[in-house]
Amino acid sequence: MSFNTVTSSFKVTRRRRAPLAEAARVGLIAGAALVAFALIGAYAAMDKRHVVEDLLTLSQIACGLMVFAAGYATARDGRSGPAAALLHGLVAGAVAGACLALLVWLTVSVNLRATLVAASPALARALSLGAPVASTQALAQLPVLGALLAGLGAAVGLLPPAGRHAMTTGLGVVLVAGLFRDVFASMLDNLPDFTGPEIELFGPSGLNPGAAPVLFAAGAAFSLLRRRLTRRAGVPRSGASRLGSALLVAGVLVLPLVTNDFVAQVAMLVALYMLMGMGLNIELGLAGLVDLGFVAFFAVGAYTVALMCSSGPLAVADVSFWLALPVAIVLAACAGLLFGLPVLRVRGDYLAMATLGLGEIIRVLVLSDALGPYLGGSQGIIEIRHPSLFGLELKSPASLYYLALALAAVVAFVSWRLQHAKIGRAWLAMREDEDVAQALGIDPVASKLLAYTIGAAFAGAAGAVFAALIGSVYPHSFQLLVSINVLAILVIGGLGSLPGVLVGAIVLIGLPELLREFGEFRYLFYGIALVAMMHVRAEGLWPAAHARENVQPENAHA
Amino acid sequence: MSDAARSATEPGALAEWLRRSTWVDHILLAIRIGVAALVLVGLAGGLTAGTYSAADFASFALFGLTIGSIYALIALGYTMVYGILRMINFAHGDVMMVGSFAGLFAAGALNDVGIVSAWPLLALPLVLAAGMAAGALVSIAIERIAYRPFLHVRSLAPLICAIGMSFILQYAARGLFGTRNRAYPGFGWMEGTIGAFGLTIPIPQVVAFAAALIVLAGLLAVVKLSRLGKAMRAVAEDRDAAALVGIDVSAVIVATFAIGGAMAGVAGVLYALVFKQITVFMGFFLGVKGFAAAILGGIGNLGGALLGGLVLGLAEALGPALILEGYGLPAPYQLKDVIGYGMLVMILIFRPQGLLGERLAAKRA
Amino acid sequence: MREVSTSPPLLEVRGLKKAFGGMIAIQNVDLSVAQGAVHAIIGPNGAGKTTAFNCITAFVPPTSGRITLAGERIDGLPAHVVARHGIARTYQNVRLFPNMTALENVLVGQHRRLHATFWEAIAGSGRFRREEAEARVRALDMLDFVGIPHRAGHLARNMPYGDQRRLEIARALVGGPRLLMLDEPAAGMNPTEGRALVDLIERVRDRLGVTVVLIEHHMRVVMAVAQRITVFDRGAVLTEGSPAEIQADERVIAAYLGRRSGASGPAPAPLEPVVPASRLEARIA
Repeated sequence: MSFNTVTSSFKVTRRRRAPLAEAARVGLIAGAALVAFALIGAYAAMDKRHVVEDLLTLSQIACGLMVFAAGYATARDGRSGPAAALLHGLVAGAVAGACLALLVWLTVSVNLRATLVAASPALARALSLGAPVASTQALAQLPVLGALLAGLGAAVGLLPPAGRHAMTTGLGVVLVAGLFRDVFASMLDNLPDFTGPEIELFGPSGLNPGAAPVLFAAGAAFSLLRRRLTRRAGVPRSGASRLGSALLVAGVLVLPLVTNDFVAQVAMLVALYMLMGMGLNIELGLAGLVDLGFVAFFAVGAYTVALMCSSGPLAVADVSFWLALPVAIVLAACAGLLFGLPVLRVRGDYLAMATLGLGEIIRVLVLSDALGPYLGGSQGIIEIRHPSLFGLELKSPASLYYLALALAAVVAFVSWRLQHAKIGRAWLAMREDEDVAQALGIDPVASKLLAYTIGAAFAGAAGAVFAALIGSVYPHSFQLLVSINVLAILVIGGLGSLPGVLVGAIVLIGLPELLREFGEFRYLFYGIALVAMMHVRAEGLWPAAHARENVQPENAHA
Repeated sequence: MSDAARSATEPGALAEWLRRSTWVDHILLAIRIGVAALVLVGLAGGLTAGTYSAADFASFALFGLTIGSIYALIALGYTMVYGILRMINFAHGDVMMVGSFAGLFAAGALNDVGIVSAWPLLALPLVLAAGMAAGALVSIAIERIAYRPFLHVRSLAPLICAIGMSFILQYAARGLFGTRNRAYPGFGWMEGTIGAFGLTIPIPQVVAFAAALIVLAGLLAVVKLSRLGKAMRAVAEDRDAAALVGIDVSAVIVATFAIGGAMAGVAGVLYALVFKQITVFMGFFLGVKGFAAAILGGIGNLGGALLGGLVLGLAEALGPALILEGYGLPAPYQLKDVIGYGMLVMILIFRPQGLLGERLAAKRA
Repeated sequence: MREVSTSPPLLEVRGLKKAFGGMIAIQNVDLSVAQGAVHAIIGPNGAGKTTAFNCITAFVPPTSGRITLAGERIDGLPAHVVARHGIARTYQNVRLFPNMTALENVLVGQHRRLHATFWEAIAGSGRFRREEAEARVRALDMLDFVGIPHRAGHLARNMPYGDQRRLEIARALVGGPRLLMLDEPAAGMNPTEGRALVDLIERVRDRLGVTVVLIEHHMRVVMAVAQRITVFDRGAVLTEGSPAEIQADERVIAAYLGRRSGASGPAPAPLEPVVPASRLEARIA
C-alpha cells in the first residue's frame, strides 16, 4: 500500500460564502461545539476545577477559547478591512453565545433528561454564571459575553504577527501554569531556598488571580524579546530545534526528581506508553502495518512476568524480574510469530480488523473460566515482586520510571539501527509499494512477519514492565483501548518518528492524567485529535526526518 | 492444478506443489491442519458427549439464524462501502449503535403520544424508520469527515479518521446518553413466544429474522434494478471511468454510505429488540462481527454478506456446544466471542476471498 | 552489431497463457531470449506485451505454460523468488518509492545482495558496517552509471520524469540481475533522450553483461539496440526475427496499420510515427 499515490482525479473543492455569512457560519459551528461540550457533560465536570482561583473554571476557559478561536478565525479570513473584520468577529461570538443561551432556555423549559443525561438543572445553573437561573439576564449575558470574547479574538487576529504571537504566548503561559498547577507547585516545593513566590503564585487548585496577569505579561514580553533576539542574531532553525530536543530530553530525565510522587507516577505511565509506542512504531511507522491487536502481546508479557515473579498461589515460579523479562519478550515474540503468519497475507484495513480480532480473542480467553485456574480469570494475579537492581528494590514510581525509560531507550536504539539497515529499507519500500518491493526480491510475508514479531517482542517487554510496576495483572488492563492509545500516540506524534513517540505519549497520556477532570472525556478527545490531525497535519507533531529531502550532493557522495 | 501438472512428462501434483510453494505455504498448511484437527476433535467430542438434545441444538440454531441476520445487515454496510471505495468503514459498528438509540428514543416518543397503545403494529416500522434515518445521517457524516477529503490519495488517513470517528461516536454517546444500560420497549405484542415444530421461539427473534430478510431483499432489488444500483456498480468497477460517462461519483458514494448506514440502523433496532437492552459501547464489537461476516461471505458481494452473516451467527450459536463442549471446557459460552473472532482469523487462513468472494488483492492496478 | 551467442537461451517461454476471467489476454506465447542479447518485444496496443512481462516476473500468475531462466523453472513461483533467480524489471508507468530518496531507492534494489543479519544490524557489527558502506558506494556508482549522480539526495517524487526512468533502471540493475526487463523505457522521451537511452542499454549489455528484454514503441530505439525482435499481435506471437527481417515483414506492417490485408508501402515508414502508449493500455495491463 503506497502512502501518497494519487488513485483518482476526483477531488472536492470548497465554496466560499460572503464574509458576513461566513462569520455567522463560524459562529454556528462554535455554538454547536459549545452545546456539544455542555451536553456531553464536560461543562459540568470541568466546572469544578479552577484555573484562576475563584474566578475562572476550566470549562469557562474551554468555552471562552472556542469563542475566542471563532473570532480569531473570522478576522484571519482576510477579505475585509479591520472594522468589518471586528464586526464579523462580534457577530460570530454573538451567534455562538446565543446557541448556548438557547440550550439553557431549553434545559429549564423542556425536560430533556430522559434522553440527554447532562441536560440537568445543574448545567443551567452553571451556565447562568451566577445570575438567577435562566433569567433574562442570564440568557442575555451569554451572547454579549460571546461577542466580547470573539471581538477580542478578532482584535488579536488583526494584530501584526509579533503582537499576535505575544498575545497567544501570554495566554498559553497562563493556561499551562493554571492547568498544571500540581506539577509546577510541586517543583517549587522542591526548591527549598526559594519559598517566597509560590505562596502568591498558586492557590489550592489553580493560579491566584493576582498572578495570572503577571504571568500573562511575562509570557508576552518573553515572546517579544525572543522575536527581537532571533531576528538580530539570525539563529538558524535547525539550531533552535536541536536546542528544543535537548531541553526536552533534559526535562524527561529530571522530571520525576523535581516533582512529587503523583507526577512521577504519571511520568512512569508516559514512559510505559513510550515503550509500547516504540514497538508499534516499527510495525506501523516503518512497515505500515495497522496493528490493533498490539495489546495481546502486551498481555503475554505481563502474564509471563506475573506467573514467574509472584508469590501468589497461581505463580509458576518466583524468580528475579531480570530472568522473567527475556522470557516474556521471547514468549511475546513467539506469539507474534504464530499469529502473524495467517493475518499478514492481507493488507491495510483488513489487517487492522484481523489483529483487532486477535487481541480480543486473547482477552476473552484470559477472562474465561476455562483458563481461570491458570491465569486467575477476572481476579487476575497479584503480589508480583518489584524488580531489584544491585540489591536495591525498584519500588518508587521514580525508579520504575527510569526502568521504563531505559527500556524505551533500548527499543529506540534498536529501531533506529534497523531503520538504517536492509530490513528497515525493505519495510519502507513495502509501505510505499508492496508489489514493486516484492519484485526487487523482498519477501513480503517474511519482512512483515519480522516487523510484527519485533513489535510483539517490544509489546511483551512493555507488558513485563507494566506487571512489575503495578504489582498485579487483571484482564481488565488489556482492552482494545490500550492498542488504540498507542496507535493515537504514533499518529499524533508522527508516524515513523522516534521523538514523535515521546511527544505523542506526553500529549496523549501525560496531559489527560494530569488534568484529572479531563480523564472522562479523554477518548472523545483522542477521537477528535485523530480526525483533526489527519485533516490538519497528517505528518504528526514531530514528523519523521525521513520526509525531509536531503539535497546535498557533495555530502551524499562523501 | 495446471495443464503442466497433468502432462505425463511432468512430475506429479505433489512435486509441482513442492516446487511452487515457499516456507510460508508450508507453515500455513501446518496451521490449517492443526486448526482442522482441533475443530474435528472438538466436534467428535461434542457430538458424543450428549450434553444437549436435538431440540437444544435446534433452538441454538434458530437463535444463530436471528443474530446471523443482524450480522448480515451490518455486513452489508461494510461490503457496499468496500465495493465502492476499497476501504473499510471502521466506524460502521457505531453507526449501528446510534441507530439503536434513535429507535429507543423514537419508541419513547411514540409511547408518549399514544401510538404504541393505539396501533401497536405500526410502532415497529416507525421505530425502524427512525433507526434507519439516524444510521443514514451518521454514516453520511462519517463519509463527509473521514473519507471524502482523502479520496484522491491512497493513504492511512481514512482508516485513522474512521477509528477516530468511532471513538467520537462512542464517547459522545456516552456523554450524551449516559453509561447505564437502557431497556428496550417490546410493544406489547412482541413479549410472547410462538410454538413451531415442538420448539418455543420468542417472537422478537421471528420478527427480527423476518424484518432482516425483508430489508435485505429490498436492498438487493435496489442494487440490481434501480438506476442508482447501476451507478453504484459502475463506480465500484472504475471510479474515473464512471465519472467520465457522467455519473455523479460523489453522490453515489454518499448514497452508498447512507444505505449502508440505514441497514446498520435497522440492525441496531432489531438487535435491541432481541436482546432487550443497549449500551453505547455495543456497536464496536458487533461491528467487528459484521466485518467478519462480510469477509466470510466475500467482501464486495451482497449475497455473500447475507450468507456470511448467517454462517457466522450459526457458528457462534452452535460452536460452543458442538466444539468447545468436546474439550470439556467449563462455561464454553463465555468463549462464544472467541468463535466469532476466530472465524475472522480462520477465513483469512483458509479462504481469504470468502465463500462467494472476489479475490482480496484483485483490482490494484 | 554484435554477434548473438549460440549458447542455450537465458530465458525460455513455452506455451504461455493468461486469462483474466473469461478474457484471454495471451496464449501460445513462445519466446526465447539469448544470453547477452537485447531482445525487443513490439506490437500494437493491447497485444499482450505487458501481460507477458507480468507473467514472466510473476506479477500475475500465468494460467499455464512453462518459463525457464537459465534452465531453471520459474513459473508459478512468487515474485520475490523470481527476482532472486535474477530477473529485474521496470514499469510502463514509472513505479519508484516516491517518498524515498534516489539513493534509498537504489539501496532497496540491493536487498538480496546484502547478507548481514538482523542481529548484526542491531549490534552494528563490522560486517554490517562494511556491507552498508559497500552498498552505498555501489548505489552511487550505479546512479553515476545511469547518468544521474547529482540526484542521490533527492526524493524520487520530486525528480524530472526522464531521471525517474533512469533511477528505475538503476534500482533494477543494482541487484545484479541476469535479465533486465524494461517496459517502454523510451515512452515520453524526445529523440535526444532516446539516443541516450540506446547508449545506456548498450552499456548495460556490454559493460554489465546483463541480457535485456524491452517492450518499446519507439522504432528508432528498437531498431538501434535490438538483435532480435518478437512481434505480438492480439495476444499471441505474430513473428520473430532480426530487425531487418521484421522491417521487411508484411504482416507486421499490417498489424500496425489496422489489419488491412495486403497493405503495402515503404517498409519502415509506417513504423516511424509511433502510437504513444495510451493510458488505456496501462489500465488493461
